[in-house]
Amino acid sequence: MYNLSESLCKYKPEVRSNEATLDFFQGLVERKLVLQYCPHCKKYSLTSNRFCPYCLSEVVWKEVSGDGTIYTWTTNYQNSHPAFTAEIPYVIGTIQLKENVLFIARILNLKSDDLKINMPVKVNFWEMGNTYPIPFFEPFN
Amino acid sequence: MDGEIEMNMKGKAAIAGLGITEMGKVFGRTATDFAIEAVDLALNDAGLNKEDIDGLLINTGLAGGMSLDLAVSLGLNDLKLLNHMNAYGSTAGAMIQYAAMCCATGMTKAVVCVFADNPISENKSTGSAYAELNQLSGLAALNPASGIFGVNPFYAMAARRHMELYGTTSKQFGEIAVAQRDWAVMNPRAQMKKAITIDEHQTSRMISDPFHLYDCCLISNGGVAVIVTSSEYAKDLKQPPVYIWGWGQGHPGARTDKLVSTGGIVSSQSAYKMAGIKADDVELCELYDCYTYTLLVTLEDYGFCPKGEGGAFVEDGKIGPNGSFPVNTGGGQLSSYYMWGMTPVSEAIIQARGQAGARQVSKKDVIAVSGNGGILDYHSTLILSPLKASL
Repeated sequence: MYNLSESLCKYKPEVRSNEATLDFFQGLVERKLVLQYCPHCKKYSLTSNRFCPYCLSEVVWKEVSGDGTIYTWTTNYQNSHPAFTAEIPYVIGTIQLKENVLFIARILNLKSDDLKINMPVKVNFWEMGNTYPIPFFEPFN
Repeated sequence: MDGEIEMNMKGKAAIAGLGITEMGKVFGRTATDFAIEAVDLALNDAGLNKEDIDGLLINTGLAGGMSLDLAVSLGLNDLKLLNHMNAYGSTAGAMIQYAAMCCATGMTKAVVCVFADNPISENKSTGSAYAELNQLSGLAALNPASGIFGVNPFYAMAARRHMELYGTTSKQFGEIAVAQRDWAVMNPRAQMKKAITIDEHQTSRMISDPFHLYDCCLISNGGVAVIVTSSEYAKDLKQPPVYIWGWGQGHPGARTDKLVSTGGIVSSQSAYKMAGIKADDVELCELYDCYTYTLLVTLEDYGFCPKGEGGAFVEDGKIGPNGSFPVNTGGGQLSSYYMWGMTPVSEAIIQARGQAGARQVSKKDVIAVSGNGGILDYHSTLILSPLKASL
């Protein structure tokens, strides 16, 4: 019997946009990092909600530089999905963006031993072919 | 006013019954089946009948599958309290808090709090799990699309931040894994029965750096039920009552330093205040340990050592069977069984009653119990004692 779900294992999980975060995903298409910005309290955030988590005012979407620093990281050895097996081990990081938003993503072109907290990194975009470009971070220079 | 209501509640409610099913790779039973079995065991343990129960609080685990229908499945009629609760690993402690309030105020007489789960299946279909990932949309889809799965990387990142800020080492995490395994060896219910060394911890396979295999908890099928009553009612029942001296919760929300300073700070302070104790008065700890790091950061947040010194605190077998500060005397989630917050709660009850056999500790008049859920997002604390009132 043909098993659709087994055939999906070969491919990385697809990213679909949703209505609440359409601006974020439209930004990815243009290889831009777009966050939520609150015109009232001037703080940035990234949620699926219309309202700022600090002052509960309505947010707008705003392109940011994608520059940040490493807040923390891990090197993943776990084989959780066949489409990622060839990449193991790989680095996953939490990036503190300049706008004070914590963003979890892959860190490429850096080895675990070379990483330090507060190390500057910048966003780049990973073209995976069948889906949106996925943000990742890499060394600043 | 702050704190006065809590002071009045100290020792007014007690744990009167405990039921623990067979644990681990136990198949052929649903989560509801495990829950029914655990409740039946708890009723027998307490010497109560179904008709004595007038409240039921339910917490379903990883696999889900339990609902409010459990009341019907248990044949419990005309309950005065019924709810299905979820603050993940902090739920067990929280359920006991709500049950204690209801029993202390007279709203209920005897409340069953139950957790059950069956995440391990004999015929695992990984394909269907991958298919589910493809259903995700929006921001939630970014992690799986990037190869970021499960909770291991997230707790590993919390541990890494602690290491970077405070110099904590993987060997110090290993001290925790080794100590808990030494306790588990003396616990007949524990899934892991063979002692390990620091070297074995250090060479166990990497999961998500800095976590080796032995830094990560087990997964278990099973169920645990606890019966809470008023202290007056509990004293005439079959088991020695375990009195509830204090409780607290702490949920850091958007606070960004929660990875190294958890909700355990607020939660333990509330619980100590209600119990009328200080951290120094705690004689025994049963702490949530989904990872070695979770236990380490909780020791700091509960005030047993200064922030950042948890690594040094656990060295030289301090929290093990021959150490000066016993923690997780049943082996914890790392080495006994993983029943979310019911793992530390159940061992605290067994120790408080003096029923822990070979692993029984002598000092157990003030027991701190923690629950933790999410990525250090939700926290609950209980202070339990075999004594009704003060030390």
